[in-house]
Amino acid sequence: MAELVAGLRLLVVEDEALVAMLIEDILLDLDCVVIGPVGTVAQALALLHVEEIDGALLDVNLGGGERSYPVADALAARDVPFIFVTGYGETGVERRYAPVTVLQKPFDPRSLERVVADDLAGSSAKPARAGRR
Amino acid sequence: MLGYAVEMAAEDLQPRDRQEEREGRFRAEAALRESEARFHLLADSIPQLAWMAQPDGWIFWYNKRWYDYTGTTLEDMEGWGWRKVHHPEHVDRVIARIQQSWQTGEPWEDTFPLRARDGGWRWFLSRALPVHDGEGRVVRWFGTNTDVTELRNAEERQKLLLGELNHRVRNTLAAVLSIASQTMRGTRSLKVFREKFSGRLLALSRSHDLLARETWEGADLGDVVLETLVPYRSEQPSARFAVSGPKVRIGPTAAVTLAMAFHELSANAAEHGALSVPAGRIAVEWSVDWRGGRTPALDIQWQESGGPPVSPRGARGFGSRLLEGGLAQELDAEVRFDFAPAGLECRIRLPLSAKVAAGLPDH
Repeated sequence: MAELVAGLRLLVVEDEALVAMLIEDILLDLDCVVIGPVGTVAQALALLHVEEIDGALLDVNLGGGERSYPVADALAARDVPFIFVTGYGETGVERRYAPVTVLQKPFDPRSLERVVADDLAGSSAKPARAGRR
Repeated sequence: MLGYAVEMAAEDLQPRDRQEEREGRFRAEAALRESEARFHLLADSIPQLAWMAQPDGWIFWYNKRWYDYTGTTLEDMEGWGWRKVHHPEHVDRVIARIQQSWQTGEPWEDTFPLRARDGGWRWFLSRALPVHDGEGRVVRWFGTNTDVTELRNAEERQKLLLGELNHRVRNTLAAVLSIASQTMRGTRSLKVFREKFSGRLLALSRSHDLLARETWEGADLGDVVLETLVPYRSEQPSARFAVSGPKVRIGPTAAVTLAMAFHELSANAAEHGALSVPAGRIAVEWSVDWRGGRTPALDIQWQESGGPPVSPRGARGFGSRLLEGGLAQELDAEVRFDFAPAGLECRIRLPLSAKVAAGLPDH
Protein backbone atom coordinates (compact mmCIF):
# COMPACT_ATOMS: atom_id res chain seq x y z
CA MET A 1 0.00 0.00 0.00
CA ALA A 2 2.73 2.42 1.03
CA GLU A 3 4.47 2.37 -2.35
CA LEU A 4 1.15 3.01 -4.08
CA VAL A 5 0.35 6.15 -2.17
CA ALA A 6 3.77 7.57 -1.22
CA GLY A 7 4.40 10.88 -2.92
CA LEU A 8 0.73 11.49 -3.79
CA ARG A 9 -0.16 15.17 -3.62
CA LEU A 10 -3.52 15.23 -1.81
CA LEU A 11 -5.73 18.23 -1.21
CA VAL A 12 -7.47 18.24 2.18
CA VAL A 13 -10.60 20.35 2.56
CA GLU A 14 -11.88 20.28 6.16
CA ASP A 15 -13.14 23.21 8.18
CA GLU A 16 -12.63 21.80 11.65
CA ALA A 17 -9.00 22.28 12.59
CA LEU A 18 -8.81 19.30 14.94
CA VAL A 19 -10.15 16.88 12.34
CA ALA A 20 -7.96 18.41 9.63
CA MET A 21 -4.90 17.82 11.79
CA LEU A 22 -5.76 14.14 12.18
CA ILE A 23 -6.22 13.65 8.43
CA GLU A 24 -2.97 15.51 7.81
CA ASP A 25 -1.11 13.26 10.27
CA ILE A 26 -2.41 10.07 8.69
CA LEU A 27 -1.52 11.24 5.19
CA LEU A 28 1.94 12.37 6.28
CA ASP A 29 2.51 8.94 7.84
CA LEU A 30 1.72 7.49 4.40
CA ASP A 31 4.39 9.78 2.94
CA CYS A 32 1.81 11.74 1.00
CA VAL A 33 2.21 15.45 0.36
CA VAL A 34 -0.65 17.37 1.96
CA ILE A 35 -2.01 20.36 0.05
CA GLY A 36 -3.88 22.47 2.57
CA PRO A 37 -5.69 21.71 4.75
CA VAL A 38 -8.11 24.47 3.84
CA GLY A 39 -11.54 25.11 5.28
CA THR A 40 -13.41 26.99 2.54
CA VAL A 41 -14.42 26.48 -1.09
CA ALA A 42 -12.62 29.69 -2.13
CA GLN A 43 -9.34 28.58 -0.57
CA ALA A 44 -9.63 25.13 -2.14
CA LEU A 45 -10.39 26.49 -5.62
CA ALA A 46 -7.44 28.88 -5.31
CA LEU A 47 -5.13 25.94 -4.53
CA LEU A 48 -6.47 24.03 -7.56
CA HIS A 49 -5.11 26.78 -9.77
CA VAL A 50 -1.59 26.82 -8.36
CA GLU A 51 -0.94 23.30 -7.08
CA GLU A 52 -0.53 20.01 -8.82
CA ILE A 53 -3.05 17.69 -7.19
CA ASP A 54 -3.36 13.92 -7.54
CA GLY A 55 -6.46 13.50 -5.42
CA ALA A 56 -8.59 15.13 -2.75
CA LEU A 57 -10.37 14.46 0.54
CA LEU A 58 -13.39 16.72 0.91
CA ASP A 59 -15.40 17.37 4.04
CA VAL A 60 -18.94 17.95 2.76
CA ASN A 61 -20.18 20.52 5.27
CA LEU A 62 -17.71 23.38 5.65
CA GLY A 63 -19.69 25.32 8.23
CA GLY A 64 -21.74 28.46 7.77
CA GLY A 65 -23.91 26.51 5.31
CA GLU A 66 -21.07 26.11 2.81
CA ARG A 67 -20.65 22.76 1.07
CA SER A 68 -17.65 21.47 -0.84
CA TYR A 69 -19.55 20.52 -4.03
CA PRO A 70 -18.03 23.29 -6.19
CA VAL A 71 -14.60 21.86 -5.34
CA ALA A 72 -15.83 18.36 -6.22
CA ASP A 73 -17.11 19.59 -9.59
CA ALA A 74 -13.86 21.43 -10.35
CA LEU A 75 -11.90 18.27 -9.52
CA ALA A 76 -14.19 16.12 -11.66
CA ALA A 77 -13.73 18.52 -14.57
CA ARG A 78 -9.96 18.09 -14.21
CA ASP A 79 -10.31 14.31 -13.89
CA VAL A 80 -8.81 14.39 -10.40
CA PRO A 81 -10.19 11.64 -8.14
CA PHE A 82 -11.69 12.63 -4.79
CA ILE A 83 -13.55 11.18 -1.83
CA PHE A 84 -15.92 12.73 0.69
CA VAL A 85 -15.41 12.74 4.45
CA THR A 86 -18.56 13.55 6.40
CA GLY A 87 -20.33 13.25 9.69
CA TYR A 88 -23.66 12.90 7.91
CA GLY A 89 -22.95 9.51 6.34
CA GLU A 90 -23.89 8.61 2.79
CA THR A 91 -27.28 10.25 3.07
CA GLY A 92 -25.45 13.53 3.62
CA VAL A 93 -24.00 13.59 0.10
CA GLU A 94 -26.00 14.75 -2.91
CA ARG A 95 -27.24 11.87 -5.01
CA ARG A 96 -25.40 12.90 -8.17
CA TYR A 97 -22.14 11.98 -6.41
CA ALA A 98 -23.38 8.45 -5.68
CA PRO A 99 -20.32 6.64 -7.14
CA VAL A 100 -17.91 8.64 -4.97
CA THR A 101 -16.62 6.93 -1.83
CA VAL A 102 -17.88 8.48 1.40
CA LEU A 103 -15.78 8.07 4.53
CA GLN A 104 -17.81 8.50 7.70
CA LYS A 105 -16.55 10.47 10.66
CA PRO A 106 -15.18 9.37 13.00
CA PHE A 107 -12.96 7.11 10.95
CA ASP A 108 -10.38 4.48 11.71
CA PRO A 109 -6.98 5.67 10.39
CA ARG A 110 -6.71 2.37 8.53
CA SER A 111 -9.97 3.03 6.67
CA LEU A 112 -8.58 6.36 5.55
CA GLU A 113 -5.39 4.67 4.36
CA ARG A 114 -7.40 2.09 2.44
CA VAL A 115 -9.61 4.69 0.80
CA VAL A 116 -6.57 6.69 -0.27
CA ALA A 117 -5.03 3.59 -1.81
CA ASP A 118 -8.25 2.39 -3.45
CA ASP A 119 -9.72 5.63 -4.69
CA LEU A 120 -7.00 8.24 -4.93
CA ALA A 121 -3.88 6.31 -5.96
CA GLY A 122 -2.95 5.46 -9.52
CA SER A 123 -4.23 6.89 -12.74
CA SER A 124 -6.44 3.93 -13.73
CA ALA A 125 -10.15 4.61 -14.01
CA LYS A 126 -11.63 4.82 -10.55
CA PRO A 127 -15.23 5.30 -9.54
CA ALA A 128 -14.19 8.36 -7.59
CA ARG A 129 -13.81 10.40 -10.73
CA ALA A 130 -17.38 9.88 -11.84
CA GLY A 131 -18.47 13.05 -10.11
CA ARG A 132 -21.20 13.82 -12.62
CA ARG A 133 -23.63 11.66 -14.46
CA MET B 1 -105.80 -1.57 -7.88
CA LEU B 2 -103.26 -0.41 -5.32
CA GLY B 3 -104.05 3.25 -5.95
CA TYR B 4 -107.69 2.58 -5.45
CA ALA B 5 -107.11 0.73 -2.22
CA VAL B 6 -105.06 3.62 -0.86
CA GLU B 7 -107.70 6.07 -1.92
CA MET B 8 -110.30 4.00 -0.20
CA ALA B 9 -108.27 3.80 2.95
CA ALA B 10 -107.83 7.55 3.00
CA GLU B 11 -111.53 8.03 2.53
CA ASP B 12 -112.14 5.69 5.44
CA LEU B 13 -110.19 7.90 7.82
CA GLN B 14 -112.22 10.04 10.10
CA PRO B 15 -111.47 13.79 10.21
CA ARG B 16 -109.88 13.43 13.67
CA ASP B 17 -107.59 10.72 12.37
CA ARG B 18 -106.52 12.93 9.45
CA GLN B 19 -105.76 15.69 11.85
CA GLU B 20 -103.57 13.34 13.91
CA GLU B 21 -101.89 12.04 10.80
CA ARG B 22 -101.06 15.59 9.65
CA GLU B 23 -99.73 16.46 13.07
CA GLY B 24 -97.69 13.27 13.13
CA ARG B 25 -96.17 14.04 9.75
CA PHE B 26 -95.47 17.56 10.89
CA ARG B 27 -93.77 16.30 14.05
CA ALA B 28 -91.70 13.83 12.08
CA GLU B 29 -90.61 16.55 9.67
CA ALA B 30 -89.80 18.86 12.53
CA ALA B 31 -87.83 16.13 14.22
CA LEU B 32 -85.95 15.48 10.99
CA ARG B 33 -85.26 19.19 10.55
CA GLU B 34 -84.10 19.40 14.12
CA SER B 35 -81.91 16.36 13.72
CA GLU B 36 -80.42 17.81 10.56
CA ALA B 37 -79.84 21.14 12.26
CA ARG B 38 -78.17 19.31 15.13
CA PHE B 39 -76.04 17.37 12.65
CA HIS B 40 -74.98 20.53 10.81
CA LEU B 41 -74.19 22.25 14.07
CA LEU B 42 -72.08 19.27 15.05
CA ALA B 43 -70.51 18.97 11.60
CA ASP B 44 -69.63 22.65 11.56
CA SER B 45 -68.30 22.70 15.10
CA ILE B 46 -65.78 19.88 14.77
CA PRO B 47 -62.27 21.08 13.99
CA GLN B 48 -62.10 18.87 10.88
CA LEU B 49 -63.25 19.47 7.34
CA ALA B 50 -66.11 17.00 6.75
CA TRP B 51 -68.11 15.75 3.78
CA MET B 52 -70.58 13.13 2.62
CA ALA B 53 -70.63 11.16 -0.60
CA GLN B 54 -73.00 8.82 -2.39
CA PRO B 55 -71.96 5.15 -2.58
CA ASP B 56 -70.21 5.82 -5.92
CA GLY B 57 -68.13 8.64 -4.41
CA TRP B 58 -70.18 11.59 -5.68
CA ILE B 59 -69.76 14.17 -2.93
CA PHE B 60 -72.99 16.07 -2.24
CA TRP B 61 -72.27 17.85 1.02
CA TYR B 62 -69.35 19.59 2.76
CA ASN B 63 -69.33 21.22 6.19
CA LYS B 64 -68.78 24.95 6.62
CA ARG B 65 -65.13 24.50 7.54
CA TRP B 66 -64.42 22.98 4.16
CA TYR B 67 -65.75 26.08 2.41
CA ASP B 68 -64.06 28.39 4.89
CA TYR B 69 -60.69 26.69 4.36
CA THR B 70 -60.79 26.16 0.59
CA GLY B 71 -62.75 29.28 -0.29
CA THR B 72 -64.95 27.27 -2.64
CA THR B 73 -68.70 26.68 -3.08
CA LEU B 74 -70.76 23.50 -3.34
CA GLU B 75 -71.10 24.20 -7.08
CA ASP B 76 -67.30 24.07 -7.49
CA MET B 77 -66.90 21.08 -5.28
CA GLU B 78 -69.90 18.89 -5.97
CA GLY B 79 -69.16 15.41 -7.31
CA TRP B 80 -65.49 15.24 -8.29
CA GLY B 81 -64.80 18.95 -8.00
CA TRP B 82 -62.60 18.38 -4.95
CA ARG B 83 -59.71 17.51 -7.27
CA LYS B 84 -59.31 21.23 -7.90
CA VAL B 85 -57.98 21.83 -4.39
CA HIS B 86 -55.57 18.89 -4.49
CA HIS B 87 -51.85 19.14 -5.13
CA PRO B 88 -50.82 18.04 -8.65
CA GLU B 89 -48.11 15.81 -7.19
CA HIS B 90 -50.56 13.93 -5.01
CA VAL B 91 -53.92 14.01 -6.76
CA ASP B 92 -53.39 10.88 -8.90
CA ARG B 93 -52.49 8.75 -5.92
CA VAL B 94 -55.37 10.16 -3.89
CA ILE B 95 -57.87 9.37 -6.67
CA ALA B 96 -56.52 5.85 -7.17
CA ARG B 97 -56.78 5.05 -3.49
CA ILE B 98 -60.15 6.59 -2.84
CA GLN B 99 -61.65 4.85 -5.89
CA GLN B 100 -60.46 1.57 -4.52
CA SER B 101 -62.49 2.28 -1.37
CA TRP B 102 -65.59 3.35 -3.35
CA GLN B 103 -65.39 0.00 -5.16
CA THR B 104 -64.60 -2.28 -2.22
CA GLY B 105 -66.47 -0.44 0.52
CA GLU B 106 -63.37 -0.51 2.71
CA PRO B 107 -62.63 2.46 4.97
CA TRP B 108 -60.31 5.04 3.33
CA GLU B 109 -57.30 6.81 4.78
CA ASP B 110 -54.71 9.05 3.14
CA THR B 111 -52.55 12.09 3.93
CA PHE B 112 -52.13 14.89 1.40
CA PRO B 113 -51.96 18.66 1.01
CA LEU B 114 -55.10 20.73 0.29
CA ARG B 115 -55.03 24.23 -1.10
CA ALA B 116 -56.28 26.98 1.19
CA ARG B 117 -58.28 29.97 -0.03
CA ASP B 118 -55.09 32.10 0.10
CA GLY B 119 -53.30 29.66 -2.23
CA GLY B 120 -51.15 28.11 0.52
CA TRP B 121 -51.06 24.39 1.24
CA ARG B 122 -51.67 22.52 4.44
CA TRP B 123 -51.45 18.79 5.12
CA PHE B 124 -54.53 16.77 6.05
CA LEU B 125 -54.96 13.29 7.41
CA SER B 126 -58.15 12.15 5.72
CA ARG B 127 -60.49 9.32 6.55
CA ALA B 128 -63.84 8.12 5.21
CA LEU B 129 -66.15 5.44 6.59
CA PRO B 130 -69.05 3.82 4.73
CA VAL B 131 -72.54 4.09 6.25
CA HIS B 132 -74.50 0.84 5.72
CA ASP B 133 -78.23 0.15 5.51
CA GLY B 134 -79.95 -2.74 7.29
CA GLU B 135 -78.85 -5.14 4.58
CA GLY B 136 -75.20 -4.18 4.67
CA ARG B 137 -75.24 -2.07 1.49
CA VAL B 138 -73.25 1.17 1.48
CA VAL B 139 -75.74 4.02 1.40
CA ARG B 140 -73.30 6.88 1.81
CA TRP B 141 -69.77 7.77 2.87
CA PHE B 142 -68.86 10.10 5.70
CA GLY B 143 -65.40 11.63 5.48
CA THR B 144 -63.17 14.00 7.43
CA ASN B 145 -59.89 15.84 6.77
CA THR B 146 -57.79 16.64 9.83
CA ASP B 147 -55.11 19.34 9.59
CA VAL B 148 -51.81 17.68 10.54
CA THR B 149 -49.47 20.40 9.23
CA GLU B 150 -48.11 21.36 12.66
CA LEU B 151 -47.53 17.74 13.54
CA ARG B 152 -45.68 17.14 10.29
CA ASN B 153 -43.58 20.28 10.78
CA ALA B 154 -42.70 19.20 14.30
CA GLU B 155 -41.69 15.78 12.99
CA GLU B 156 -39.59 17.40 10.26
CA ARG B 157 -37.90 19.65 12.81
CA GLN B 158 -37.22 16.69 15.05
CA LYS B 159 -35.71 14.71 12.17
CA LEU B 160 -33.55 17.68 11.23
CA LEU B 161 -32.42 18.16 14.83
CA LEU B 162 -31.57 14.48 15.23
CA GLY B 163 -29.59 14.60 11.99
CA GLU B 164 -27.71 17.68 13.21
CA LEU B 165 -27.07 16.08 16.58
CA ASN B 166 -25.76 12.95 14.93
CA HIS B 167 -23.49 15.04 12.74
CA ARG B 168 -22.22 16.98 15.72
CA VAL B 169 -21.54 13.84 17.74
CA ARG B 170 -19.65 12.29 14.83
CA ASN B 171 -17.56 15.41 14.30
CA THR B 172 -16.86 15.65 18.01
CA LEU B 173 -15.76 12.02 18.14
CA ALA B 174 -13.47 12.67 15.18
CA ALA B 175 -12.04 15.65 17.07
CA VAL B 176 -11.52 13.52 20.18
CA LEU B 177 -9.77 10.90 18.07
CA SER B 178 -7.55 13.63 16.71
CA ILE B 179 -6.74 14.99 20.18
CA ALA B 180 -5.93 11.47 21.42
CA SER B 181 -3.75 10.71 18.43
CA GLN B 182 -1.80 13.96 18.68
CA THR B 183 -1.43 13.81 22.43
CA MET B 184 0.00 10.32 22.01
CA ARG B 185 2.53 11.52 19.49
CA GLY B 186 3.90 14.15 21.82
CA THR B 187 4.16 12.15 25.05
CA ARG B 188 6.19 9.21 26.16
CA SER B 189 4.68 8.39 29.54
CA LEU B 190 1.16 7.22 30.16
CA LYS B 191 0.85 9.53 33.15
CA VAL B 192 1.61 12.62 31.09
CA PHE B 193 -0.69 11.40 28.35
CA ARG B 194 -3.54 10.99 30.84
CA GLU B 195 -3.05 14.48 32.25
CA LYS B 196 -2.80 16.22 28.91
CA PHE B 197 -5.52 14.22 27.23
CA SER B 198 -8.06 14.72 30.00
CA GLY B 199 -7.21 18.42 30.19
CA ARG B 200 -7.90 18.81 26.48
CA LEU B 201 -11.03 16.71 26.59
CA LEU B 202 -12.39 18.74 29.50
CA ALA B 203 -11.63 21.97 27.66
CA LEU B 204 -13.55 20.63 24.66
CA SER B 205 -16.40 19.64 26.95
CA ARG B 206 -16.56 23.08 28.60
CA SER B 207 -16.70 24.78 25.23
CA HIS B 208 -19.64 22.51 24.35
CA ASP B 209 -21.37 23.41 27.62
CA LEU B 210 -20.97 27.06 26.76
CA LEU B 211 -22.48 26.56 23.30
CA ALA B 212 -25.27 24.31 24.57
CA ARG B 213 -26.44 27.18 26.78
CA GLU B 214 -27.27 29.13 23.63
CA THR B 215 -28.57 26.21 21.55
CA TRP B 216 -25.31 26.07 19.60
CA GLU B 217 -25.79 29.40 17.90
CA GLY B 218 -22.61 30.92 19.21
CA ALA B 219 -20.83 32.16 22.30
CA ASP B 220 -19.40 35.35 23.68
CA LEU B 221 -15.63 35.60 23.19
CA GLY B 222 -15.24 36.76 26.80
CA ASP B 223 -17.07 33.65 28.04
CA VAL B 224 -14.90 31.43 25.85
CA VAL B 225 -11.76 32.93 27.42
CA LEU B 226 -13.09 32.80 30.99
CA GLU B 227 -14.32 29.25 30.54
CA THR B 228 -10.86 28.06 29.48
CA LEU B 229 -9.31 29.69 32.54
CA VAL B 230 -11.76 28.02 34.93
CA PRO B 231 -9.43 25.19 36.04
CA TYR B 232 -6.73 27.72 36.86
CA ARG B 233 -8.95 30.39 38.35
CA SER B 234 -10.26 28.00 40.98
CA GLU B 235 -6.72 27.34 42.21
CA GLN B 236 -5.28 30.80 41.86
CA PRO B 237 -6.41 34.18 43.13
CA SER B 238 -8.45 35.73 40.32
CA ALA B 239 -6.40 38.92 40.53
CA ARG B 240 -3.90 37.08 38.39
CA PHE B 241 -6.21 37.25 35.41
CA ALA B 242 -7.28 40.32 33.50
CA VAL B 243 -9.76 39.61 30.75
CA SER B 244 -11.17 42.51 28.77
CA GLY B 245 -12.58 43.40 25.40
CA PRO B 246 -15.79 44.38 23.62
CA LYS B 247 -18.69 42.00 23.27
CA VAL B 248 -18.02 39.77 20.27
CA ARG B 249 -20.18 36.80 19.35
CA ILE B 250 -18.32 33.84 17.89
CA GLY B 251 -19.86 31.09 15.76
CA PRO B 252 -19.95 27.54 17.18
CA THR B 253 -17.08 25.93 15.25
CA ALA B 254 -14.79 28.92 15.72
CA ALA B 255 -15.69 29.03 19.44
CA VAL B 256 -14.59 25.41 19.92
CA THR B 257 -11.31 25.96 18.10
CA LEU B 258 -10.57 29.18 19.99
CA ALA B 259 -11.43 27.50 23.30
CA MET B 260 -8.98 24.71 22.49
CA ALA B 261 -6.33 27.29 21.56
CA PHE B 262 -6.80 29.20 24.85
CA HIS B 263 -6.67 25.91 26.71
CA GLU B 264 -3.30 25.14 25.15
CA LEU B 265 -2.00 28.59 26.08
CA SER B 266 -3.22 28.21 29.69
CA ALA B 267 -1.87 24.67 30.04
CA ASN B 268 1.47 25.85 28.69
CA ALA B 269 1.43 28.77 31.15
CA ALA B 270 0.74 26.36 34.01
CA GLU B 271 3.60 24.13 32.97
CA HIS B 272 6.29 26.60 31.89
CA GLY B 273 4.90 30.14 32.08
CA ALA B 274 3.17 32.66 34.27
CA LEU B 275 0.88 30.15 35.99
CA SER B 276 3.83 28.03 37.13
CA VAL B 277 4.83 30.58 39.81
CA PRO B 278 2.65 32.38 42.38
CA ALA B 279 3.48 35.88 41.14
CA GLY B 280 2.67 35.28 37.46
CA ARG B 281 -0.15 37.09 35.73
CA ILE B 282 -2.09 36.67 32.50
CA ALA B 283 -3.85 39.40 30.58
CA VAL B 284 -6.16 38.59 27.69
CA GLU B 285 -7.35 41.57 25.70
CA TRP B 286 -9.10 41.92 22.41
CA SER B 287 -10.38 44.64 20.15
CA VAL B 288 -12.15 44.91 16.82
CA ASP B 289 -10.35 46.65 13.98
CA TRP B 290 -12.77 48.16 11.45
CA ARG B 291 -10.14 49.75 9.23
CA GLY B 292 -9.58 46.82 6.89
CA GLY B 293 -12.63 47.33 4.67
CA ARG B 294 -15.87 45.40 4.83
CA THR B 295 -14.79 42.55 7.10
CA PRO B 296 -13.56 43.78 10.47
CA ALA B 297 -10.65 42.00 12.12
CA LEU B 298 -10.47 40.70 15.65
CA ASP B 299 -7.15 41.27 17.46
CA ILE B 300 -6.56 39.07 20.48
CA GLN B 301 -3.57 39.43 22.71
CA TRP B 302 -2.46 36.90 25.30
CA GLN B 303 0.19 38.40 27.53
CA GLU B 304 1.95 36.60 30.36
CA SER B 305 4.04 38.40 32.96
CA GLY B 306 5.79 37.69 36.23
CA GLY B 307 6.65 34.14 35.24
CA PRO B 308 10.03 32.48 34.93
CA PRO B 309 12.27 33.72 32.11
CA VAL B 310 10.95 32.58 28.77
CA SER B 311 12.95 30.83 26.12
CA PRO B 312 11.64 29.65 22.79
CA ARG B 313 11.16 25.90 22.66
CA GLY B 314 12.20 23.97 19.62
CA ALA B 315 9.75 21.11 19.33
CA ARG B 316 6.26 21.94 18.04
CA GLY B 317 3.66 20.35 20.22
CA PHE B 318 -0.07 20.01 19.73
CA GLY B 319 -0.65 23.49 21.16
CA SER B 320 1.60 25.43 18.82
CA ARG B 321 0.40 23.34 15.90
CA LEU B 322 -3.22 24.08 16.77
CA LEU B 323 -2.51 27.78 17.15
CA GLU B 324 -0.20 28.32 14.21
CA GLY B 325 -1.65 25.71 11.86
CA GLY B 326 -5.21 25.02 12.95
CA LEU B 327 -6.31 28.57 13.70
CA ALA B 328 -4.65 29.81 10.55
CA GLN B 329 -6.35 27.19 8.43
CA GLU B 330 -9.80 27.14 9.97
CA LEU B 331 -10.24 30.78 10.89
CA ASP B 332 -7.85 32.36 8.41
CA ALA B 333 -5.95 33.74 11.42
CA GLU B 334 -2.46 35.19 11.70
CA VAL B 335 -0.80 33.96 14.87
CA ARG B 336 2.44 35.42 16.21
CA PHE B 337 4.38 34.27 19.24
CA ASP B 338 6.82 36.53 20.99
CA PHE B 339 8.99 34.69 23.47
CA ALA B 340 9.92 37.87 25.33
CA PRO B 341 11.93 37.21 28.53
CA ALA B 342 9.28 39.00 30.62
CA GLY B 343 6.57 36.63 29.52
CA LEU B 344 5.11 34.86 26.52
CA GLU B 345 3.03 36.98 24.22
CA CYS B 346 0.68 35.56 21.63
CA ARG B 347 -1.13 37.76 19.15
CA ILE B 348 -3.99 36.39 17.11
CA ARG B 349 -5.56 38.40 14.32
CA LEU B 350 -8.51 36.93 12.49
CA PRO B 351 -11.12 38.30 10.10
CA LEU B 352 -14.60 38.44 11.63
CA SER B 353 -16.07 36.69 8.63
CA ALA B 354 -19.55 35.18 8.63
CA LYS B 355 -18.00 31.89 9.69
CA VAL B 356 -16.18 33.30 12.70
CA ALA B 357 -18.62 35.86 14.00
CA ALA B 358 -22.12 34.96 15.13
CA GLY B 359 -22.85 38.65 15.59
CA LEU B 360 -20.75 41.77 15.32
CA PRO B 361 -20.29 44.36 18.03
CA ASP B 362 -21.62 47.86 17.44
CA HIS B 363 -19.45 49.86 15.14
